[in-house]
Amino acid sequence: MSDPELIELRDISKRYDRPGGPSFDALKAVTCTISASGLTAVVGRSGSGKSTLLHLIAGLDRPSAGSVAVSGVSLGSLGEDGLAKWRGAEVGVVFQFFQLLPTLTVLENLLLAMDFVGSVPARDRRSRALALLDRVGVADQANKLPGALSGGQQQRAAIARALANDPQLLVADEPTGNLDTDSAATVTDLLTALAGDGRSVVVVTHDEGFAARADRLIRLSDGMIVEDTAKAMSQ
Amino acid sequence: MSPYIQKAARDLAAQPGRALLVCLAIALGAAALTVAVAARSVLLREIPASFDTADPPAAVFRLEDVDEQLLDRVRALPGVVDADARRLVRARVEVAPADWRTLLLFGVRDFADLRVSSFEKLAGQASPARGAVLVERSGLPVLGVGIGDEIAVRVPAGASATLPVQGIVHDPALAPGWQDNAAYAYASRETLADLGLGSHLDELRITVNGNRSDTAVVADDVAGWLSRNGYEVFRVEIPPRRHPHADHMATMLLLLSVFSGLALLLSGALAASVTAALLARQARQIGIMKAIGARSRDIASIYLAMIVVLALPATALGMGAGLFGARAFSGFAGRQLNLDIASYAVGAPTLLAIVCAGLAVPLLAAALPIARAVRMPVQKALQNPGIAVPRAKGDVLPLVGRLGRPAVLAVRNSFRRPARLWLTLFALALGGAALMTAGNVHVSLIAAVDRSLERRGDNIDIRLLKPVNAAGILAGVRTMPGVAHAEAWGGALVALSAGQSPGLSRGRYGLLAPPPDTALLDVPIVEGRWPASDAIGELVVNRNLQAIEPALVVGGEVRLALGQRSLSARVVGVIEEVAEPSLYTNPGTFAALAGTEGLAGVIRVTTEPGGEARLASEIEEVIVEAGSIPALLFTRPALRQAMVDHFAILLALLSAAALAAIVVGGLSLAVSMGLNVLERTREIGVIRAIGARPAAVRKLILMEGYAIACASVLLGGFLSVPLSAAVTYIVGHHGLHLTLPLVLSATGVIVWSVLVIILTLIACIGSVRRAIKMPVCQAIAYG
Ligand SMILES: Nc1ncnc2c1ncn2[C@@H]1O[C@H](COP(=O)(O)OP(=O)(O)O)[C@@H](O)[C@H]1O
Ligand SMILES: [Mg+2]
Repeated sequence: MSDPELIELRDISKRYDRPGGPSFDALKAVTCTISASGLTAVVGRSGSGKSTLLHLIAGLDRPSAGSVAVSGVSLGSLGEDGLAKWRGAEVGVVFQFFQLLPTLTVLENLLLAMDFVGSVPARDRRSRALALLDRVGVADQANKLPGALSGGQQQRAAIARALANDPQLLVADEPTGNLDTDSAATVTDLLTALAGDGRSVVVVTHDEGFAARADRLIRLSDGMIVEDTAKAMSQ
Repeated sequence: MSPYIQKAARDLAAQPGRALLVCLAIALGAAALTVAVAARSVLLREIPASFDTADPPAAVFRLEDVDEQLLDRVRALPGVVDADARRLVRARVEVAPADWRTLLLFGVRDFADLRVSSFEKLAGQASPARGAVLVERSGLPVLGVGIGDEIAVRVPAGASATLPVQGIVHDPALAPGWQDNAAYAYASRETLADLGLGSHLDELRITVNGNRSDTAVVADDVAGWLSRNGYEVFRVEIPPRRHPHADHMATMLLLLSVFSGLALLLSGALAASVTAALLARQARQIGIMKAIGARSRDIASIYLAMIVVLALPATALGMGAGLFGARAFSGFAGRQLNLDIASYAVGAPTLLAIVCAGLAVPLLAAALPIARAVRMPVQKALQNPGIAVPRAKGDVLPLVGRLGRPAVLAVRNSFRRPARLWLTLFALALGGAALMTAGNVHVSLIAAVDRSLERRGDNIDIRLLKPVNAAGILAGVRTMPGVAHAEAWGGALVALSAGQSPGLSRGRYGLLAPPPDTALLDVPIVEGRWPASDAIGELVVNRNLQAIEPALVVGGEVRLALGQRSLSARVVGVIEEVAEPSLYTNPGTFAALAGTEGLAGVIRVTTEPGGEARLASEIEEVIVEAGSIPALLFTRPALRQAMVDHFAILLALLSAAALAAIVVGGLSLAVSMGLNVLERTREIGVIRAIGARPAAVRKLILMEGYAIACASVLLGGFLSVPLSAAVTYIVGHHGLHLTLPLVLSATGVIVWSVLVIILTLIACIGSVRRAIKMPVCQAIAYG
């Protein structure tokens, strides 16, 4: 693998305290690195810790032990504000249930993401947003509220939103879990293509076919990595 | 325990924050309602009760002297319950060197046997020794003395004396002395004689059975009996059977009723909004229960049980707090009237009514959302995310778009729950409107007083106890340095008797006869006209007098009596002014009534501002030299202060109501924002996931709060106009007998705007904290 490393997780554990029961380790001393480009698929049974791992990679949560480092800088040393700033600029998040803000139009959802981060100059935002929507194939829905779109359209718009600030890393937690077969295929194609653009895409998926197309496969079981395979063909 | 209650209790325990908010809303409403209702019920009972402990006279007859033998015979007359003798001497008391105030000195027949116009001993001796007095407690702030001190007194003949104070009494039938800038003292016949006033007690005061019209009959019978038995009756007075400040109280009770209605409305609104929110989160559970076979009735029972579980302790708590508030408020009102509240007890029916309202309002408010939730199809309920997904953008303000996306998001978010938004807006706006109304009414009152005082032109007004030669007084006053203008008017306290108007109470009121060219009276006539300059027997009355003597309408006939003389007169006009109940006529009519020309009963002087008090005491010396003393003396600053003091209780009430409304409004904002943020936990998680920093989240929530706050300032401003108009009208017509100008003061709007900003900050703090503290991934998984 010649790709530089983007994120380095070292001895990561995540412990949840359960009210009225013993605490539970969702991740147990996991160590892995995510490279700056390529498609990484995270698979495993339900409850194995996939979402937890993704959240830690994306800086959406903090580990109970161990460290997450980006370009050598520990995310643990950043405050809430610093973490949010990094996340906004470097990470795009795609959810299983799309999570577009229902009171804003599709276009406004993208613009808001740029407003928050501020890295795209204000006068370029609109054209960039429209270009992104065009890229994912929903430019004609730009001025509708998300509620008026189909599931597949919403997920594509959500991917466009995740790309709004041109992040190096895109994470997606079961992005096709709530879609019909056709829409799921469009979304997987889209994510695969994005990974080919010199971007790192990390996807949690149950779709074996999608996982097979990934450059790298991480399999989790009971909070531990039991398989980590890089595909030579991506070279 | 029934499984319904169990589920209700567990659901509540699972959402303690929301349960607490519902409780707080209901408790607050119950508290506000209790204060208003309980205070009203206590005051309605205690004011007349306390007044009646004074055994106020039904009729007062002015005779030469009233002795024990006459009293015994009068007591035996049919219809008469009891009789007593009294004398009222209008004197002056020196409270500081050269600072003289009105002293009403009562001659008492027997301190150990008070039959009519009783008073209660509070401290010191029950009956003063010869040469000493008892004083009434409400005059103590004016006198500034205690038991063992002496007061310097000047009596009508001009004699002065110092009298030791030997006791303090309470007379609930008297207007509070500290408000009227007067003091009251009680002395024996012998003491009056020692002061050179003679030992006679010239008032026969009786109490009678029955109502006011019976009183008039009995009074006429007694007067007839007195005449037949050789007693000359100079005057018969039937004083109004109510506290001198009863008008104020009536106004206040009216306002209290209005506020209790508003309190009920607001608490209902708040309870409805939180209950609806409580149920929104339960939609999925309702779906599950239905799926496993629950009937609508079962489900409704569970949630109604939930409301009862919340409302019962909340109502009890609110009622407890409200009773304290009511106690404090009625105690305050009592002190303002110089009345003792004997019991703060609130009747069981009243308490029951409050409990019923406390339970019924939230139950009724919850009925609609419960019905809606229960009727929802199972499938829909199972999928219900707990928050509505909008179908249209619905921007009300195109302007908002200019403020940037976060502002658009905040404003649109605030419209996601229109019912909640309106309730919150309404509650907040009402708080603001109440505050602005308190300010507006205050300004309006002061403006009316100032305008009225301005119209009069004078800044010293003296009513003489006994009319004296006008020319002599004027010559003395006009040469004083600092006096710009002085007039001497005819005037005296005159007694009204029935004439053709049987409804008259036969009280004694000030008659003023300004010269036709007066520069000191510019009061516009509101009905009829001023007396013609040469007509004898034409009168103008002010609204304050009309309030006591409703028979004195334009065209009403009345007989005026001054000493032994009397005259038939007719009301030709009505004025509105800030003044005592008074009658006005022309100098010709007054001369006809007094029997001589050139007598002055009123001295009105214009001075340079600031010199009023000093000049007033100098003028008083001139009057004493001329052989009279002031019966009433007002300087403009003191009169203005007295008027302002009169309104203190009213303003206190308005401010308390405004404060309560603001607390309710702020609370509903906090509740509403709390629920909005809670419901959108996941959305806030998403916003944070796509790069919003904590500061941006805080800004977003605050902006939503401010969107509501801004709208509330606007709506409050609109609401305050009719509310101010209504309260100004009530206060003006019922409390002051004056058409008050409707003043809309900008200060109120500014104060409210600032307050609302602070309120919004406080109301949003909790929500912001919660939204920022929760880990992003947990927020996204919420719901
Ligand atoms: N906030 C939480 N509190 C307690 N336990 C949690 C929490 N989030 C996840 N878990 C537990 O951690 C384990 C791993 O969860 P997750 O990473 O979501 O699994 P996956 O995405 O692989 O299904 C699961 O057993 C889950 O119940
Ligand atoms: Mg998962």
